Amino acid sequence: MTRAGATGKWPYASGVNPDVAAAVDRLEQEGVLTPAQERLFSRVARRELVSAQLEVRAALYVGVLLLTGGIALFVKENHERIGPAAIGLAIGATAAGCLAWAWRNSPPFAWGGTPATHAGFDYVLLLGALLVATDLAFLETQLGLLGENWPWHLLVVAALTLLLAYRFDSKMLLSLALASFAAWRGVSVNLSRVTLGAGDPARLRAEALACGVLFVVVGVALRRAGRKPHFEDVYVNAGLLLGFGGLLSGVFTTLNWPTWTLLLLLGAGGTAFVSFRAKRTLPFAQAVLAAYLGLLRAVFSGGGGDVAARMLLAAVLGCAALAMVFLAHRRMRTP
Amino acid sequence: MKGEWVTAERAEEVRAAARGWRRAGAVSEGTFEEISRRYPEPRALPAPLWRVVTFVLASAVLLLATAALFVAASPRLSNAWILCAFAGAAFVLMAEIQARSPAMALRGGVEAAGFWGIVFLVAGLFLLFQENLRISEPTGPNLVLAGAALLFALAAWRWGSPAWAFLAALSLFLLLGRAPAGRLLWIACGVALTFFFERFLDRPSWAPSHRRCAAVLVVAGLLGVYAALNLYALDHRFVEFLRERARDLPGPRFGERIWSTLGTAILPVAVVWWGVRSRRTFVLDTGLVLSALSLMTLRFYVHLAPIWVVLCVSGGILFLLALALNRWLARGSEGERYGFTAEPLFADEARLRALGYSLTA
Repeated sequence: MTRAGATGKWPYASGVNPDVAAAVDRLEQEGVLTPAQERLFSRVARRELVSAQLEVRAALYVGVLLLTGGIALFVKENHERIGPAAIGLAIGATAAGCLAWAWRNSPPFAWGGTPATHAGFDYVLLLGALLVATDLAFLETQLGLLGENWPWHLLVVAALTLLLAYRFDSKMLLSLALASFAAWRGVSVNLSRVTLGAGDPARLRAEALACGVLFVVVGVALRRAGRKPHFEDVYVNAGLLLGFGGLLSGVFTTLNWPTWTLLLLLGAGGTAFVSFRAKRTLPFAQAVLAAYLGLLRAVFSGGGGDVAARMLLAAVLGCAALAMVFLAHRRMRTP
Repeated sequence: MKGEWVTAERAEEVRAAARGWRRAGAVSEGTFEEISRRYPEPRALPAPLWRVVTFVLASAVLLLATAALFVAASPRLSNAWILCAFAGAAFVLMAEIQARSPAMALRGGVEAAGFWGIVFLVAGLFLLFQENLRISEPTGPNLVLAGAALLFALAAWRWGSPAWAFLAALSLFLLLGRAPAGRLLWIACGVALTFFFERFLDRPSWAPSHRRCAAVLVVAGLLGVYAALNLYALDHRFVEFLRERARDLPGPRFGERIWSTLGTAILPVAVVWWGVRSRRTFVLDTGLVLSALSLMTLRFYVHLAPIWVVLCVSGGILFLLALALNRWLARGSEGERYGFTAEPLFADEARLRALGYSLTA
């Protein structure tokens, strides 16, 4: 870089990213960039060409949220006046319209990635899926089709959004499907408390762990089978959140916390090892944070004792976690 | 800010642009490697996730160590300011040491140590004035806020993080809000910040991080002016409640409400117009947010329809407008109109989509 560049004395008017604009000019003069590249990059650096895609996407997303919020409020305030059948039909018809539009504007199905060509595609699809979920929930609460088994409608929502996610290659819908599935397991366990006897939060914890393991196993298996391999990170991250959440729940809310802490450390250690080898940063980070949180329980458990020493020990453990993160980042050689 | 940090920042600006070019397929891998060679970045630059994890863990370490110190020393309230000042100074020194190390400067530790260092220094100021010197309302808190504004401003100047610039502006507005003419001072300060720092947004002599700080201060100025002008905020005395005995203050006068109504309506439009004319997307985004707030304010005062109707209609209009804008831009010559395009250009699409599905979940 020239001395002028280093000191920031550039002969450019305002309205420019001066560092990039100067670099583009220099790279073109030195033959690194072609004249065509220089023209485009220079326009962007000088703000003669600006992308409004973020604003368009944000507006689409907020629009979907406002619409679904308004429809939910409409259902809440008017279901007695209008009648469940009419409301259910109206919402269902709107959802069907959205999904039909998505079907017409989507590329053909493939097991690989099929990116959408229309800017609003993801959001129309999301609107359709959310309306389907709203409609099912509304009809269930009004007509009681499933009776005491009403939480099973969440499984129906999960299955439907999973199908849509795969057909239309949508990670957004996949995360909705996984969340609905986990909610189905969580809600049904709570309702089963009466039949199981006294309340059983341990069962809820087991469900979270089972869902976590299931999601991770399914995600890895589908990637290996070449079935939407780019969906793997959604499965794995959701699975790890549930799994570590269940383990941490055991650490912090049960009397048998030493066993849960050991299980947590084993799970976190295994996850960290595998994700380190696979150069997967988010699972590694989740494992380190979960292990650190779990160890805090061991540090602060029991009454009395030297509180200051415990806090210092917790700080030292934090330093160890930091060192692990630092070294892992260097060794993984990923950004 | 040290000269070598500025040089490294300028190189990183070019490298970040080159990464976007490569991601969009506008340059080959060989060209990208050549650009990286010509603009070397001596500092390690982890992805945002690593920096967030480092910030969280570093914050936990610093807070636990300080808590241990406080428990062990068990100072009286009148002497606690000494420990706070000591911890604050130590953390600031840690931040400075990390900032000087190319391996540590961008990992998130500088932000953690710097932030908590300033928090403890401000806490020390508060305890010194409140418990030791017995300087109470209103002077004591005013001095604390002034100290916070100064410390965050110095941190922004030294280490270049826009977050500190925002916190400095926030402290300044809180301080001004406590004055008798707080609302007018907010408007004056906001206008001053906006027009003063707008001049430096593209100043070549400023380091890239300082230019980003200038952008944050422009936004803070606009938000401050809007918060002072907004009719709902005026009627509910948002600014006046920062003062002592605010409940004794009279309500807004009719003339104030008229000006406030006009400001609530006109300011967002003016900011959006400025964003479009200057093609500064952060100004445009600020204007759009202010427009949304003004529409919410309108709904609060003018009950045209039930809320569900308002939500559905506004959501539908927003959705269709966004699609129409996208279509209009895409149909322009070479996919652009008046310098705007719906193409992502060199943005990180994967990151945008990941944000979308994480918000959905």
